[in-house]
Amino acid sequence: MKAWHNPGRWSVNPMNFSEEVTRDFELPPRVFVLDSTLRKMVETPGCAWTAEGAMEIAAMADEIGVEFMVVNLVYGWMPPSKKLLQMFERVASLKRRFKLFGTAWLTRESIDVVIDHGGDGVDLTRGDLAKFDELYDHSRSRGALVAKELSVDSRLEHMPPAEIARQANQVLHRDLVYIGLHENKGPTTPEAWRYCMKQIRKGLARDVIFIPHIHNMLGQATAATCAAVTGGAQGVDVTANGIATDCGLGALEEVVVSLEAFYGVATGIRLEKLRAYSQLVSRVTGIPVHLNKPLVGDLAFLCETNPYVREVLEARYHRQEHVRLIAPSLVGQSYTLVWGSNTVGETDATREKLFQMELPHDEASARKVNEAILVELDTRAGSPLYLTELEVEELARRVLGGARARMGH
Amino acid sequence: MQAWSNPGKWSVNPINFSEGVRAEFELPQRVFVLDSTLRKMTETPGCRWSVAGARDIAAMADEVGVTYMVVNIVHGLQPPSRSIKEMFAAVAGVRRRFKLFGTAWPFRESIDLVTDLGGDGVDIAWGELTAFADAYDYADSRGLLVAKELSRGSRLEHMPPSGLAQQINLLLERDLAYIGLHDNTNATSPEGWRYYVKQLRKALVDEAPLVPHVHNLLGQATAATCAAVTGGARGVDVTANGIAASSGLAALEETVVALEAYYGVQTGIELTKLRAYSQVVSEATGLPVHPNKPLVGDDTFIVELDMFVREVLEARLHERERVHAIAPSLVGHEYTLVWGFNTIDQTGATQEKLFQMGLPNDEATARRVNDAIRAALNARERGPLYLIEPEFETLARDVVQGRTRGDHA
Repeated sequence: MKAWHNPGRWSVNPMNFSEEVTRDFELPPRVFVLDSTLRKMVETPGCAWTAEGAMEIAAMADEIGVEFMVVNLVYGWMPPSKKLLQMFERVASLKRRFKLFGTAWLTRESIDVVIDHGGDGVDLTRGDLAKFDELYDHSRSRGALVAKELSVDSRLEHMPPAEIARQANQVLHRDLVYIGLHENKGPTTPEAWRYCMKQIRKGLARDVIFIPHIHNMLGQATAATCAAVTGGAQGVDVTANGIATDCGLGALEEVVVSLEAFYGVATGIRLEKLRAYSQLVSRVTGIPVHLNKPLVGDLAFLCETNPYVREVLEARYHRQEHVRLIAPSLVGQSYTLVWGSNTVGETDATREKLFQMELPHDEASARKVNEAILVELDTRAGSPLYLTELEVEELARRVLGGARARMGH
Repeated sequence: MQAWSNPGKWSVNPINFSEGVRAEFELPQRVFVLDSTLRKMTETPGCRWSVAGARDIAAMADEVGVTYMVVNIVHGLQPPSRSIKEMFAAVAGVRRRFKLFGTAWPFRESIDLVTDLGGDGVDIAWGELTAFADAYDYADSRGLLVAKELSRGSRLEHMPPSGLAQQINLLLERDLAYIGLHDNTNATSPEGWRYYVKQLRKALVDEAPLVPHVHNLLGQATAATCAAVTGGARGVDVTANGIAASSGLAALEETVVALEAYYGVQTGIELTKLRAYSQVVSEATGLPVHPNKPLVGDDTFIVELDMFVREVLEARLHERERVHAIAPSLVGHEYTLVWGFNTIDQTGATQEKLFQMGLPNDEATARRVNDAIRAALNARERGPLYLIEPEFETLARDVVQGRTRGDHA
């Protein structure tokens, strides 16, 4: 298997892996996934979440294979609500492989809240860094893992790479699970993320797992997250469907598939469950998924153009899956074939379909069916302006039913 | 004005503009915008478009300041339908500054059709270069501008830069409006795009108006389009709201704002009209915009967190606009202030709002109002779980005037 061509799964541009393109990359062979879906769920304005829903999400995240989930028990200087603590405790009680982190201030009391509610680890946010050693030891003595968030007013530029490295070096004599770099408004380009990651890592006393946390104000959170990995970040902080305020976070499904297919970086995620995870998160949170959302939207693998419909039909007939870029099954999807105005201008797709239905499939028959489709489309008052495969089958039988009977004789 | 800080408009990370980040960029000062909204509208499965809607879109695109619009009069080997011809002629009749292109095969009849329908230019889609030369000369003789689309199997890797450069060098003997590079499967990473365009340009005898056409299957179309510009592409091929099949095309609004704010490249677009354009396109096509869509979604600039609500309120009182990364007014948007569970654990926002309403704004009063909000939210059976500003105002007056007790609403 070549990196760009994983038969039956994906086929991307070989140039992505060329020496010239990847020369400046410092790619890790593998990244871990920090799933912030629960954290962002509770912060997304209007989201009607419940503890039961959170448990469903956590169970599915475990199936997917995320390594960490995190919940904002404290947020800024806001203490945890009772509802949040109850949710956290119930998620903690699940049988699971991922490690559950809760955010905590740099105080014993805040750390104890996380541990007392069943957390596996504390993600330390605000407070006096001078107390870090003492609090690290306290956490470890209570069996908790420790991570550290670095964020100054949620903007990367307020902490230049050298300063980030300096602060990281202050805590690197302890064993941290990860260091999160938070940028909530997305003012940094993908190229700058790569550069910053490389510069930060140059200044470190030893390597540590940095993970970028990037919002999507300009629609580049996925690209920026991947770019940070090309600069050496060894983890990604993402949410299913990219849910979050400020136009969302890097979308888990986009980031992990990009990392695997575009960059050849293993993520440990069971990609075939991504669609199911997306649907579950949408149902639980009430936050819709756009129909055209990459990889997981209802219409992400919808085919209407004549040649593509034909190609998908032909492949399916031979029990194969058409792979243009990504096989739908890679993410637990399947093709949706429809006949619309971009299908019926030509006859190939319809002929192939008629052939597979064992109906007459000559040009004239296909034209008759296409004309009937056009008539049907003209009568439709609202979207969608296409016929589903089942509708085409019914219509084709109606139009050519007599012909089929004659063939049978 | 520094590139990263355009007061009142945007404030991004200065490191985006550092030599370390931009060492390999070959950025043009300005790009033109090829708006494919009409082209993709007719190809997006399920889109319900009309001639009147297309005229609305074209009129708004002209206000926005796009350089070109293109319509697929022919698509692949599919001939034009009557409805598309009617639409094209109607758009051509709109008073406008942009140049309207129609796709054509390199035959006189196909070119004549574009001319007869009122097009300003032909975008020659198929055929050998020898046929193109004749087609160019004929189109030129009829007063048309000419562009050329380059696409092989809709995958960039089927057109290696060196071979493609030879073809383009032949094209450059003539004056082309643009040369489209089509990658419909989005098989190329952003870094791959940058490298590709740079390599291509190295082998050209002269600068060429290269335009990347990138779909969004992995959620990186905007980043890849920008990356192509950092490699020297002179134009961008985009659609409003990113509409198109295959998870969409690069979104016009994301691409132009990213180019201006992230990269310092002028686009000639009236950014303040982007939100209105997005709404016109959604209305005319029936294709919804996700509430969290970057820059133009209904919830893009929703603010719920206590400290941010307070900051926006304070700025507004002083007739300023809070700018975190992008000012909402930059794209014709505005902040939506809401009070939800992430607002009412603290009192900063509520106290500020009460003050601005001329009501008592001490902490105790704010707590009573917050308690009333909490009770109102708990009584809601479905989202959104927040109060909008007018709801807040009504409730606050009731609480302060004793019409509502703070412990239940």
